[in-house]
Amino acid sequence: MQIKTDRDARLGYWLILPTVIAVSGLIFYPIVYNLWLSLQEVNMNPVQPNTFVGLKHFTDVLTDTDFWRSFKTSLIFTSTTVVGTTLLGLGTALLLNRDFPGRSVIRGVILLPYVTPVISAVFGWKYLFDPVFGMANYFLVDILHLLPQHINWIESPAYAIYAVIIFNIWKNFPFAFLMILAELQSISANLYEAAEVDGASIWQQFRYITLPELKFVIGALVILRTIWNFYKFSEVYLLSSSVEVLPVYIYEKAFASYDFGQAAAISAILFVFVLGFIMFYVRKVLEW
Amino acid sequence: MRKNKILTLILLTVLMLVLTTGVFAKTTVEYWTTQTEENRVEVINSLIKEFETSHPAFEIELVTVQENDIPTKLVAGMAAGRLPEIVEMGSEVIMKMGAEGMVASDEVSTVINKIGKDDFFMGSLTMLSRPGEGYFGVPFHGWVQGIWYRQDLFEEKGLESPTTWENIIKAAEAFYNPDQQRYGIVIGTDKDAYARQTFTQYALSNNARIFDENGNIVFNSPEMVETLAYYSRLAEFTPPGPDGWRDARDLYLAGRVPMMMYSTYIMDDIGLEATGYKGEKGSIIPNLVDKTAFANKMHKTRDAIFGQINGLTFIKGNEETQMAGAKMFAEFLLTGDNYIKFLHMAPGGMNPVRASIASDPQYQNNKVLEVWGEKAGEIAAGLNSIGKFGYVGGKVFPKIGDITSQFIVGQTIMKMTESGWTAEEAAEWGQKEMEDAVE
Repeated sequence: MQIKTDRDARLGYWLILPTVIAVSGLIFYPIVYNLWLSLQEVNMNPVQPNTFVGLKHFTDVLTDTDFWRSFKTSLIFTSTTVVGTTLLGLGTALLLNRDFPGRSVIRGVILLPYVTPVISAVFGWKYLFDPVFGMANYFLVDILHLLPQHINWIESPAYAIYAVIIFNIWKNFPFAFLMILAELQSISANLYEAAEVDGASIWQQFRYITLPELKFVIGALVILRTIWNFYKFSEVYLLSSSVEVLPVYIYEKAFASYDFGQAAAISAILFVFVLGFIMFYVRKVLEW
Repeated sequence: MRKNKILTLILLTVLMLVLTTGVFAKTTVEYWTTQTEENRVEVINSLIKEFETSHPAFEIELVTVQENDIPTKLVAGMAAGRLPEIVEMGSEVIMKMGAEGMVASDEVSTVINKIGKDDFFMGSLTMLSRPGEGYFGVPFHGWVQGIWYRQDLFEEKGLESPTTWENIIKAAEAFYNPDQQRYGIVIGTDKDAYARQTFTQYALSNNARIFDENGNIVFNSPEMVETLAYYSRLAEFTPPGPDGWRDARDLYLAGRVPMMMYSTYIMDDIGLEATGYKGEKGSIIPNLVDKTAFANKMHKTRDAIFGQINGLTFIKGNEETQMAGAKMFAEFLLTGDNYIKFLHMAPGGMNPVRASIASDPQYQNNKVLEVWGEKAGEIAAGLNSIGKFGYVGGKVFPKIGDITSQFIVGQTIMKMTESGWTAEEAAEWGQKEMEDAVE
């Protein structure tokens, strides 16, 4: 590549300079600073200097069983919520793509979980799943007798992960629904008419027309949701501190153990992992 | 001409604004408090207004911080090099800041001496003393913890008051009826400060410690293992866990548990029936005050009282004028009417650390305190003899702050109650985590 140096080009550089400064200030600086932190034993007292420890944090993290347990929790959380939100969004979009009275009202109502502030939704769910007074326990135990005793769904480490997954799917499926519905509406009705003339069944129409048309929007939804949920902190931590996904693990390393260096190292490892996943996904699945 | 006039007018206005702000430039003093409830913030704000009127050179900026968020906020503030001048926090946090070298302890001593060192309860000063000499914080107010229980129900069943390990577990078992959503007791079984606070009293009553006198961690001692084993047995009679302070308060007020561990802050809730909480059949237990008794002393091999002293402290590295303002504000808060007004935010919950105020009729003249009558006095007296993990045989171990900020005690309890570990396994795990934490 040749770098242009004529007058026009120079003016061009001046014009993009503000953007370059903004991008480097807001994106590259934090990344570099984080990498630099990950090589230091960070001293909490700003007056005292940090100690350079090289790759020690990285070896510590990669040999720490707590880290791998969090990693596993994160993988479970991310994969189930990505599949859950996408399928639920797809199903809802297909149903609401048909004509029926009150459709626009229902479409609006479906979006509610997505637009509700996290903290209010969290408190609602906490009461729903309350171990003593909650409706969930009342129905499952006292009315239907499906379980022998009341369970603390939200706080108990054994069950909290389910509560968090269900909550996340409920909260985020409207986004998938919205995207898929928009794409569905752009599919020409001619295609379905032609297929019907050829004698295609409903399933065949879905399999050979709807799905291929939706491929890219679903592909994009999956990758976005993966990135978002792999780094999801608020919805998990606010609902239950018992679910140690990686962002929560990093938070505790940094703000409960005051180990900023190690927290930075974990972030760097995650960065590489997610970047690798995105590259693979974009090439192999989306075939861009 | 007209244009010129307008321009002159604008310039004059700007000039006036600049000049006036110059004349009235105030020194801003940032004040952090853990009192986050809305009605308490109102009281503090009105005190701040009074202070600002009498000290026009200063402006107090109030920042409220949730108790469990303190470690996070402090670290963020430290990293940003932007810490407040004056903070009001629990003694552990102040000890931790002191150990990090963040506290201006000379200034603390100046304020203590100016108010009158002899007027402070000795117990409260000990909790904030600096290893060697001096203090890390000015004692401000304190609470005492214990078991609040339904005297009427205990009498019905012929049970003795829950002051010993035996009596406690016997009563918990007697009342436990999970099919009716009735439980025996609420104690802390979550990864939070509440679990450490409730557990501490059991540990201290069995002479189980985190530090020995030389500062070594002895969390896996036989006494501690015995306490952990007992605690996890007792936790079998609690509501489906993990449980926190909110469960304790709500379930007790709703009549679902006859016993729970809580600080004196519950006096307000019980005394005024002011929670707005609707118990069964739409009404709260009538006359709960008369039915409630408080066991603040616990006995196994020795008596133990647990509580907390909140103190005020000043952060090093701030400007001198700001520090002067912070000191004046601390004195202002601890003096006469202001102090009483502050304590009455949570009557019974916040107890005075100054003897002269505790016996002041004006302090005692409060609805809630009157409802509790003599009980209130007995409770406050406990403040002088509270024990804690960070203090052994007159020595202070500020390192306890590193252990509390990671909620290791709560996590150890959860290993037993949620993951089914034995007390020995949990104690070993806790020992290792604590050693790592203080490293």
